Amino acid sequence: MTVVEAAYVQRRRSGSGGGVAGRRAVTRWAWRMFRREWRQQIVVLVLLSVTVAAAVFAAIAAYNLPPSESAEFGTADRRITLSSPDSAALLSELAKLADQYAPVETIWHAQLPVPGSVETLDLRAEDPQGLYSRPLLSLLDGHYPTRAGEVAVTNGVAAMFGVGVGDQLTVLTEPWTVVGVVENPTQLDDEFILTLPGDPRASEKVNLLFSGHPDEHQAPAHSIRQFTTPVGINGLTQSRGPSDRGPAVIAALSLDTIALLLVSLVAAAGFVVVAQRRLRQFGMLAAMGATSRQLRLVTIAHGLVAGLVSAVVGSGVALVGWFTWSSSLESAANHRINSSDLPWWLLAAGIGLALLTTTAAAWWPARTTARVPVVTALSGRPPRPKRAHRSALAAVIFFVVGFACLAKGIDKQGVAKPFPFIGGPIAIVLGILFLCPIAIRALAIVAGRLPIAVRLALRDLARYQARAASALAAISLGLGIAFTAIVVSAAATPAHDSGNLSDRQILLRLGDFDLIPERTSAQIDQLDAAVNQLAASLGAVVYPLDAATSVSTTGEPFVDPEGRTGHPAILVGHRVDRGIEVSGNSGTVYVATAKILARDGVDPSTIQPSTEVLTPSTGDLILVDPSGFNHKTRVDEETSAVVQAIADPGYSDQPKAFITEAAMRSHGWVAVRAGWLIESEHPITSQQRAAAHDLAAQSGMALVTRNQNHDLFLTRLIATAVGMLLALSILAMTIGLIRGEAGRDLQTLTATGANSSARRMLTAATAGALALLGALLGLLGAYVALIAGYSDDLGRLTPIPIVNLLVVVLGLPLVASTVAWLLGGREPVAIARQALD
Amino acid sequence: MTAVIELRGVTKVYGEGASEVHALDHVDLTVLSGELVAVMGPSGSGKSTLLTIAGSLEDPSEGSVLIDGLALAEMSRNDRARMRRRSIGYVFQDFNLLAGLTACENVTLPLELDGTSSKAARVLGLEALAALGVAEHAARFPDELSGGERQRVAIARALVGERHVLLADEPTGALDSANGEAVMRLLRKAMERGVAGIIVTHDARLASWADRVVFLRDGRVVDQTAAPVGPESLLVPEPTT
Amino acid sequence: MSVPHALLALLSEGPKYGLRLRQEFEVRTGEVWSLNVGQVYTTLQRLERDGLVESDETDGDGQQKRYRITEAGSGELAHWLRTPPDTELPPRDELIIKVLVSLRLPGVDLHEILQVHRRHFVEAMQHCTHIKSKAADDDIELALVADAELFRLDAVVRWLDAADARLKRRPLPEPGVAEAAPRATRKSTVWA
Repeated sequence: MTVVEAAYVQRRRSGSGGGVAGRRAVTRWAWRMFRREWRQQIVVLVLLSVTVAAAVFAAIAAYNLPPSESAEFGTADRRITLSSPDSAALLSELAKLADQYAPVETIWHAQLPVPGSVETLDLRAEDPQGLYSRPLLSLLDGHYPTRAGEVAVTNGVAAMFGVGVGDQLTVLTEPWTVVGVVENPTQLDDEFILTLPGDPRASEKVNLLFSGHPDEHQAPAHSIRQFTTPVGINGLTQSRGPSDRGPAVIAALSLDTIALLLVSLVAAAGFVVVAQRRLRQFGMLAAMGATSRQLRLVTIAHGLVAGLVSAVVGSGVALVGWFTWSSSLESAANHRINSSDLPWWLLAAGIGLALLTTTAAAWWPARTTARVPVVTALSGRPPRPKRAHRSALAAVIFFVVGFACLAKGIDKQGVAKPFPFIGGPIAIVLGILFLCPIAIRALAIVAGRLPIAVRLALRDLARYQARAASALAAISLGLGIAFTAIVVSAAATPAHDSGNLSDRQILLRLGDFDLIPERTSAQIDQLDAAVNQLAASLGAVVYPLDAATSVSTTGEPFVDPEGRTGHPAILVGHRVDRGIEVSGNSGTVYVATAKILARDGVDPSTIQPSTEVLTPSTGDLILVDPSGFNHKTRVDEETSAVVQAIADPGYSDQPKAFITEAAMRSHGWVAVRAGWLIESEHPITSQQRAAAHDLAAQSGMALVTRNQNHDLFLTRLIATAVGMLLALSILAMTIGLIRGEAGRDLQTLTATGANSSARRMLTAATAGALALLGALLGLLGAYVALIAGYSDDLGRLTPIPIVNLLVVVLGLPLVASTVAWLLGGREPVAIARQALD
Repeated sequence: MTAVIELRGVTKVYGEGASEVHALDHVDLTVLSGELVAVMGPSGSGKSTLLTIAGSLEDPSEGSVLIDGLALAEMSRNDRARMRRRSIGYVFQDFNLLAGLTACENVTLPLELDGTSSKAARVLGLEALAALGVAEHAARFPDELSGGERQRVAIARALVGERHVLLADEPTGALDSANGEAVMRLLRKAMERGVAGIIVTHDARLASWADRVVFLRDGRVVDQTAAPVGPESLLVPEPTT
Repeated sequence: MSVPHALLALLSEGPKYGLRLRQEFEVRTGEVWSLNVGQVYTTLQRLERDGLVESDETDGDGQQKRYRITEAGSGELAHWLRTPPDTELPPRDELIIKVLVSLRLPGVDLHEILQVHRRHFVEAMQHCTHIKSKAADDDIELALVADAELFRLDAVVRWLDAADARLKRRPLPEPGVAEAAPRATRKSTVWA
């Protein structure tokens, strides 16, 4: 049998599909086309790779950035914290627990006073080779303490005292030798002095780490329980949640999904143009007897190659970027990031999805082109577009589904539910996708009244609806992501009239919002004088703030669970489901002095005799005494406070709740100086702020000034710039591909006498129209998602960052058409080859 | 002589209602093995439609098409594609060759699409190229070939392997008369192998290469010539005068 | 066809006998034209009389006579080769007259008449092509003659096609109105 005869036999067996040989022939052709059009392919590939790189990087970062519960537990599952000034009692209690939960690890703490400051320092006795705590300690320099009298310090402590390895450090009476610099890798701002385990000075508080015996301890995951032992030891048990990284994984996946949707839209936009260009050749292949499966294979093979290249290059770039920049993310994340601790499955999923999405993106044009009738394909006519009203209906349905998913995507505890949270954005993107053909068609209607070059450009877009719509979809999504970033960062940025404080205010505080440190009246007078002097230098008014505090009936000093002493401050809170919610700094209740009332514009004569508290907060308010001195243990026994409303200052850290003298007396609370509010006529300058800071540092006060929020402003700027760049590069790719197709038209135009400005106009109009439509659709999609996401608190979406949005909506079309105008004037290149295509 | 291509009462209607156009109106045409039939007619007479319907690229609105005695209407899409791979070869005025493939690969493409190994296909492809005198261009890409060479490669592809139905639409339209004649000589030579061919054209000089010329007007066959027989001299049939 | 000039052309290659001249003539013209012996000799005698050729001084019959071209003969040949042939259309081409006549005849399908002629001409072209395709590759003379004939016939077919298209565009005479319409108007429509 000759080769040829054998071939016939083989062919007879191979049925209708053509088998491996057929697939190879078709793939070879696809590969050659890929190589012939490498310039366009490079553009598509670069764009795809960059998008994949961004997707993979974002996913890895989202996975690694959130704080880990290891910061509290190390490798243990449970933790009991015991604190008492009586170290003997602590030891005996500890011995019992250690017996019960063995094996255990103990970490002892003591709060050391810092000379000349109210700040305290954590003295920590921890074994560097501890059973569970090894992730909580790492050595940066020197060595761990090995003998009595040796300590290691964190960088912060070293800076505070200006010491280094080998220096002497005196905090208590005897000096220590600093032998090493250490840190807590899971919590970088954790500042402490590390001493030997068993150091008798670290004896106020002990953390008991152990891995649970699930059958013995029925404590539910994530539970926190506070208790007080009969001998007066404050205790707290905590257990680790079920999975450390659940929310991080959902966030990473959701980011991945959005980014890969963008990848698939970018890819689809490229493939549609390429498939359209090859329509005639597809016709030839079909006339030669290629089956529709073989025709699909051409485009899908193209997608597969593009997907493979962009997945490999993109994730390679992302990994290199990750290894390079992960350390600079550490301070933002507040923990060390082990750059080699990559979520490999997430990475693999990202690469797999990139490959899948590009291939899927190729599948759609593949299917469409394979279904074009052979005769139509041979003539190179674009297929007749689908009906518009159907896609309008689909768009509305997808928008509704996406809205519903996102509105219900976050449960009451603020935890994202995976499916709606990932499905919602997909539905909205699909909605935009179906809206694009309608928008493109609307262009053709507008076109009739415009100058000839613009009309031609818009008609072309409408005529080749498939490729114009897919380009538009990619641009819309790119801009939609940018718009979302802009609006979200704006929602997170306090506006001029909100924030923590006004830029004319300074708050100097003693202690924490719920605990006021003990000061003698002489000390207070001294501070008062210093603050008044500072205010005088600013030309500002001082409002002394006295907190309502509860008094111990037994004469015992108050010690909180963390071992701090002072006056427990009365707080105002909202009654919620099974407890009380106190909103941090503004929850402290201050005495309503005449000066403070005058400042808030309250006439003392308007205060009702029954009024206990004056506050802008509404709802069921309760005055909380956290000391436990009044022995009330159940929240529902607390009676609601009698509230009189005052105007809301709008700033979160400004004192808001004021108690009347009568109420103070009736509760038996005493006023303790807790701080000073300084209010100037003019914005506080940075020099004035520095002076205030010096005062606070010298006298052990905490300084509060307006937060600067530069980072969020920067985020918005970056989102605007990146969004525009992304959209511009998608535009460049698609316009390049689309106008490249119109080479013949351009030649005809040139032959008819059109000069370069007509050619420029044509390109500029195409770019401008796509950019404007993309910006509008992106804005629509972004706001549908945002309104759904913030549906429980729509107020946070205001004020709208109009400037940034306008810059994109108007600026992008302008930039796009200007660039296109500048680049679009070239003489059309000779198109001898086109006759062959 | 067996009938290779048979069109029976083929009608093709485009559009609906008022814009309805009869591209073909009950056309009957039989092409025997070894016979070359030219279809002549002015533009819009339906000759290209006739070609695409005979080649299974389009379905007739009415009537039936038989290739090798098999009715196209009874075949599945895939079977018709297979028929095109194995039996039917097209030659167009332009857009004939795939730009990404060499001359030889272009010729072997239908074989490979059908599952022939590339090695065996290459043997057949070179054979077909040699028969058309362009074997030396086998490794070149279409844009490196002249118009005449391209058309020869296209014909080689149309006739490669067992393919024996040749459908040509103005195959010499883009060529000068010397190249056109050379191409037609090669086509005629192929007919001797038992190929059945239809050439669609409005050019009488091209049509005169056919054994039979069918005249098409407004989608209807209006006339045809008899096969040229008679004395081998240019003197005898003195037309008109 | 100018036989005298063809003979002059043959003689410009060198002196030849009369018999040889006749054979070469037929070969060179693709054997499309044949000449009898008498035609050759009367032509040669006329050329000799006009001083364009001269013969050997030998006696004997004409077949043995050798002819050679004179200076004047060469001049005449050169002049003739460069003189364009009469390109004017025959003033009364029969085909045109037939078509013009049938334009006016009632009950005649003009397209059908045109088609009859078209078929005839295409058949003639098929015939020519057939002969051309059967001829040897180096038979350039035959190919040239066949091409000439093909182009001539092709021109007629094209004229028929153009006539067909023109007639198709002709507005159909409305029944009743056609008879009443002034002649001049109808004529101008037809020839527009």
